[in-house]
Amino acid sequence: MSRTVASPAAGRYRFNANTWLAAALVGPVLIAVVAIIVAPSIELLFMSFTDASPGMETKWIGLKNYTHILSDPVFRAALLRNVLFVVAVVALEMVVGICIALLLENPVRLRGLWMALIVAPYAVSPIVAVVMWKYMLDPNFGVVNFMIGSAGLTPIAWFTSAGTSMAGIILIAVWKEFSFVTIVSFAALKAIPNDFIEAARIDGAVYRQILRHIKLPMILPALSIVMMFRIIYTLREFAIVHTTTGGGPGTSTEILALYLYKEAFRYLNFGVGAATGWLMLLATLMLAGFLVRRTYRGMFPERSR
Amino acid sequence: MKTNIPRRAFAAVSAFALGLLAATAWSDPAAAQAANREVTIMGLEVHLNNLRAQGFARGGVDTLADFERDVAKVRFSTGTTNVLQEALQRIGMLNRSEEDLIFVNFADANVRLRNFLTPLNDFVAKEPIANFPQNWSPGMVAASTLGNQLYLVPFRCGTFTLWTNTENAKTAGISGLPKTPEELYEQAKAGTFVRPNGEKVFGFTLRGDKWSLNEDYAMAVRMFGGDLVTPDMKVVINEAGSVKAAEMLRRMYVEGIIPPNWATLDGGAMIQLFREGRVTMTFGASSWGAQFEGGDSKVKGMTVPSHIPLSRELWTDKITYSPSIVWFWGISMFKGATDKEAGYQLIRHMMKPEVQREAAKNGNGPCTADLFAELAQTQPVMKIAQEIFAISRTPLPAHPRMGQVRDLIGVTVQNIVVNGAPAKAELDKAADQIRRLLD
Repeated sequence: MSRTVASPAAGRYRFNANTWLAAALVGPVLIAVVAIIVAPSIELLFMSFTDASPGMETKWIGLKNYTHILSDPVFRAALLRNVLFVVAVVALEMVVGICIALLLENPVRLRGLWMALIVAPYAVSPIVAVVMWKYMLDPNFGVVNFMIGSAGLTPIAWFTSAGTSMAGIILIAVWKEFSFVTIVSFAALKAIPNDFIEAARIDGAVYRQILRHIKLPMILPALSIVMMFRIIYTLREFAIVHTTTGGGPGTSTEILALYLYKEAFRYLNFGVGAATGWLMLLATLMLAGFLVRRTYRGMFPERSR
Repeated sequence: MKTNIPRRAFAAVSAFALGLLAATAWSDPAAAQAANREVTIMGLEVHLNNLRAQGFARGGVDTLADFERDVAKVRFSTGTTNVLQEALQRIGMLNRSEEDLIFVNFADANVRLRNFLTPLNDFVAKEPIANFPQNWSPGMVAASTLGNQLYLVPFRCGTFTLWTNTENAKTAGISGLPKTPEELYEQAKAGTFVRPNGEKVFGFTLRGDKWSLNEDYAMAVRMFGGDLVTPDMKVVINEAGSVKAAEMLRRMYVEGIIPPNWATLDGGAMIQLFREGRVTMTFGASSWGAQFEGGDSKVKGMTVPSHIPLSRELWTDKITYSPSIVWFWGISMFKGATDKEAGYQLIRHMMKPEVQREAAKNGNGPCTADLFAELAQTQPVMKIAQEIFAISRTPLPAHPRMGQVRDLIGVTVQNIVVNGAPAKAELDKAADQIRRLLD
C-alpha cells in the first residue's frame, strides 16, 4: 500500500483525506496538551519573573528569583543531594530489577504468581506505600527492626540521622519502583531469539559469557529507555521524602521537589517556586534529550550518523 | 404492561399533594426558605465532628439542626490543614464562590487575609454576635482583626499542657508532677526504662516534625522565660531561655529520653506513642484528653494533665507555671461567598452559648471565658487551660512571611537536637535569617 499522508511538493504540503483524518485525531490531544501543559507553563514562566505571593501585590523583578535560587546554599545542597539520590536509587533499581528478571527467565514454578507479587509495589498508591514503610521502619515499634533484632542483629535506628534517613528513603524508593525494571527486562530477555543462546552453548559458552556477550547487549536498548524514565521520575521524587522525613533532620534529606514545594506552598513564594519548577524542567529536558539521543544511537547506529 | 390510572383519581392526588406542600410552606415559611438555601463551609474533619456530633463525637447533639430548619442547609467540605490553607488562597481570590465560610488557622491570620475574606464589621454592627468580643480572649480577637476589620471569629481554641502517664511514673518511682524544667528533665530521665518484655518506654516527647516544631519549641523555651519572636516582632530566639531549652532537648535526645525518630514525630505519631503506653510524659493539646482516654487507648484512667513547668527564678506569688502557647481556629467568610447573609447567620448561630456548650461536649475546645469557667469546675484540664489562656499567647506573632520562619525554626532545632549542631551558634544564625525575613 502506498498511500501518501502528506508529501512536500516545492516546499508546500498537499492535504488529502488522510491528512485531515490525522489532524482530527491528533488535534484534540494537541489542544489538551497546549491547554493543560503549555499554557500553564508559560504562565508559570511569567510568574517566575515576579514576586507573586497569594494575597500580596505582585511586582516584576526580572531574574531575581533565578539568582536567588542559584545562590541559595539550601538549593545547591538539595541539587547535589538530588543527584546522589538519583544515582543511588536508579543504580539499585537497575541491579535488583535485572537480577530478578534473570531469575524469573528460568523455568521457575509459579512464575505468574511471582510476577504478580513483584509488580504489586508498583501498583500500590505512593502515599499508602510510604506510610506503610514509615510504620514498618519505625525504630520504636516497626516490624523491620523487630525482624532484624530477632535475627540477632543490631536494629537500625531508621530516620534518626541524615544517613539512616536517606537510607530509609532510598530503600522505599527502590522497593516501590524496581518492578518496572523487572517487567521490561523480563520482556526484553524473552524476546531474545533462542537460536543465539543455543549457538553460543554449542560453541562452548558458559552462562556468564552468554549473559555478558548476548543477553545484556541485546536488552540494552530496552534498559536504556527504562533508565531514562527512571532517572526523570526519580529526579522529581516528592512523596517519599515529604511523607517520611519532610526533608529532615534539618535539611539533610531535602531534595529539589521538596525545595519547590516549600517555597511555593509553605512559604507562599510563588515566584521562587515557579522559577525552581522551570529550572527543574530545563534540567529534566536536557537530561532526557541527552539520554534519548544516546539511546537512539545505541538502537539505530546507522541512522544516527 | 401499561397501567391505566383514572384521570380523576390522578387529578385528586395531585391536588392533594400540591395543597399539602402549600400548606407546609404557609405554616412554616422559614422551613420552606431553608430548604432552598445552602451554606457551604470548609473545615477540618474535627470541626465537622464538633458541630455535627459525628466520628469520635457520635452520640452528641447536632448543633446545626436548628439552623438548618430555620435558615439554610449546611454543606461541609473537609480537608487537612494544608488543603484548607491552599483553598483559602485559591477560592479567596474568586469574586464569586460556591464556598461561603472557611475555618482559618491562627497561623494564617495575617494581612494576606484581607484579599481573601469578607470583613465582618458591618454584619456585626447590624446583628451582634452574642457576648462578642468581651467573652473572648482579647489576644485572639486582636489576632482576628486586621486594620480594624474583623475577619475571623475564634471557634475552636486550645492550649498545650503536660500529660503524664501515672502508671509509667509509678513504675519508675516518680512521685509528684514536675514544677521546673530541671524537675521535668530528672523525672523524664527516671521515666525512661525498659519493660521486662524488652519494650522501651521514653521519658518525654514533644512534636519533632519541622512544621509543628516551632509550637513545641516555643513551649520548651517559655519554660525558661524565653521566646522566639515577641509580639512586637523582636527576634529573641537566640537569647538565654532558647539556648537552655535547645541544650536540654539535645541532652534528652542523646540520652534516649526522647524517641530516636523524634524528627519525624508529628502530632498523630506522638498521640499513638502515648496511647500505647510508650511514653511517661508529653507536651500535648488540652483537647487530646479524649484521645488518650478514649477508643482502644492502653492508658485509659492513667493520664493526668498538669501545667508545663516554669524555671523557679521566674515564679511569682500568683504564677508558678509556664505560659505555654495558645492556638485557635476562627470561622470566616470568603470574599466571593454566594450567600453572605446566610453565611453570617451561621457564624452567629455557631457562637450562641448553647451551641458552644454542645460543641464542647462534642470535643470542641471552647473559646469563651464563660464556657471555660463552667467546664473548669468539672474538668481539670479545662481549669489548666483557663489559667493558661489568661497569660499566654500564640507561638509566633502574625506576619505574611511567618511560614518561612516556622520552617526555619524547625530546621534549626532539628539541626541542634538531632544533628548535634552547637546551640548558640545555630540559634544566632537563625535569628539573623529571621530578622531578614521579617524586615
